Amino acid sequence: MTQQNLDNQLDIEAIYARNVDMVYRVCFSFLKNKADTEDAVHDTFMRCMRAAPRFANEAHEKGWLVVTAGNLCRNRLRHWWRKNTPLDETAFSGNDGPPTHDDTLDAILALPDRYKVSLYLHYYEGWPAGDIAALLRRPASTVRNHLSEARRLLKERLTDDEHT
Amino acid sequence: MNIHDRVVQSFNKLTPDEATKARIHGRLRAQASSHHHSPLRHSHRRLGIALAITILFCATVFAATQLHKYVNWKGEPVPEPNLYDGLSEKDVSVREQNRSWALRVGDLIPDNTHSEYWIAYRISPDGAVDEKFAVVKTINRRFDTYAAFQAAISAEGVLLMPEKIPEGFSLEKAEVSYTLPHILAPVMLDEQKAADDVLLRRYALPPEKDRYLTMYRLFFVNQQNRSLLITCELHNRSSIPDNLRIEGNSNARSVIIDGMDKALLVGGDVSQPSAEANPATMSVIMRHKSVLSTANDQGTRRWDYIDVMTDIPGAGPLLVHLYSDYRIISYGGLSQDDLLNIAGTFH
Repeated sequence: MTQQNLDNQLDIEAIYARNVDMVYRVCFSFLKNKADTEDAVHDTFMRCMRAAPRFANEAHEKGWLVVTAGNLCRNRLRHWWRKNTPLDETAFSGNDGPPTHDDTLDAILALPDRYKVSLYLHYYEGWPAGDIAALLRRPASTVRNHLSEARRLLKERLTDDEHT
Repeated sequence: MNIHDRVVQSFNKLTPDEATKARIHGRLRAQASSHHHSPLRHSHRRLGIALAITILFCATVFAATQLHKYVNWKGEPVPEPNLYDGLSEKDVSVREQNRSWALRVGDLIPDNTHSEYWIAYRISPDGAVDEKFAVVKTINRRFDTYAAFQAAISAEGVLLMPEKIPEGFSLEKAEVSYTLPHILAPVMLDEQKAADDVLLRRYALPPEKDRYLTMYRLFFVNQQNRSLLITCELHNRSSIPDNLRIEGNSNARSVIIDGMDKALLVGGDVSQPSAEANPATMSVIMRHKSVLSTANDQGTRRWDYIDVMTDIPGAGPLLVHLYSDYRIISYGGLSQDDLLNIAGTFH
């Protein structure tokens, strides 16, 4: 193995150690089961390994991985083993759900996928809407709207649960 | 607690445990070493798997494309099947409406969980619920070991599988799918209208769900990163295709596989010397026709739920056929003889 390969391997080890928790959380929020989440996390880091992007700093690295993970999960949801028959229509879904019951988590998982990356980066990683907008290459107003709508849906869902 | 804190707390619960992280890390390390030796190899394998998915799951999509063609079990070219052959204009219209409804409803059904599943029923214009027109989502399960997969198939009792992991390969993924019928649903938990013409009912998952296995997929890989995919599908009585969709540049010829009713060898160049490894995609498609006694073989299963059994002419109601199809698709890792040998181990 060449020195360059060794360096790359060391890099990916460090990148993995720094970000695996974050990538896993984001993927689970899309895929909602452990088996698919593991595959998506693996695919995200494999893509990083293949693309070997030059990260300016750890925030850039984190952003690249979150966006890649989100895209891979969306692709997976879009194309994953769908088969249609006229009656008794079949589609596929995982069946190993989140580890423990949590109303807030249920509400997060039920959010539309387009809000999830922004929600995670804003609330969990503390990114301001402007930075998220730059990362996702969207207008800041769109990201703010997504965050606001996600917040509204979460409140609505959690209020409903408290009343039932 | 405010929304911010609740979101953080919930995402914390999604943090993977050390065993999970180690497992993913192990997979990455294994693939990283082959990636460094040959960066293209991995992408070829992924492409192979993607092609296999296309072959398998486009089988019910009857769109014309130059990338595919249709053959019969003798390997002879046949016209593209037409779903609506022999139907009146009115029947075609009804089928189109049904199909369109089913496609739309698929997106409205929530995901199944460990303990419950959903079925969508059509609400007629007069407000009545048409319980015969239902859409269900399959339930998927993955196995970490081939032994666990074998146990699940054996418990199901009708579908066949290769007797062992093909030599030189390791199991990458084993997935099975269950389709639960609406007539099985014993305990309805609640119901809600998802649209004017869609009623969603939520059911408790019955403990006998594992008996209703309708499909499986096995992914294997060898040390050269060549993939092998094996799939199985149980056929609905109303859709047992005799027009087989294969890649447009493939050749196909009939072969005999012990224990199978029909079999077809499909490859880029099937005239090659049989002992020589063929680097191109090559597959075997097989059909197994079981003869079951409804009195003795049905057991506690409700096979009628997906209408899988076909009457045998003149045999009376006690004997029926049950059809299942198998595909073994090799992406360059096997010779023709090796492929046929694997096909011969199904039991």
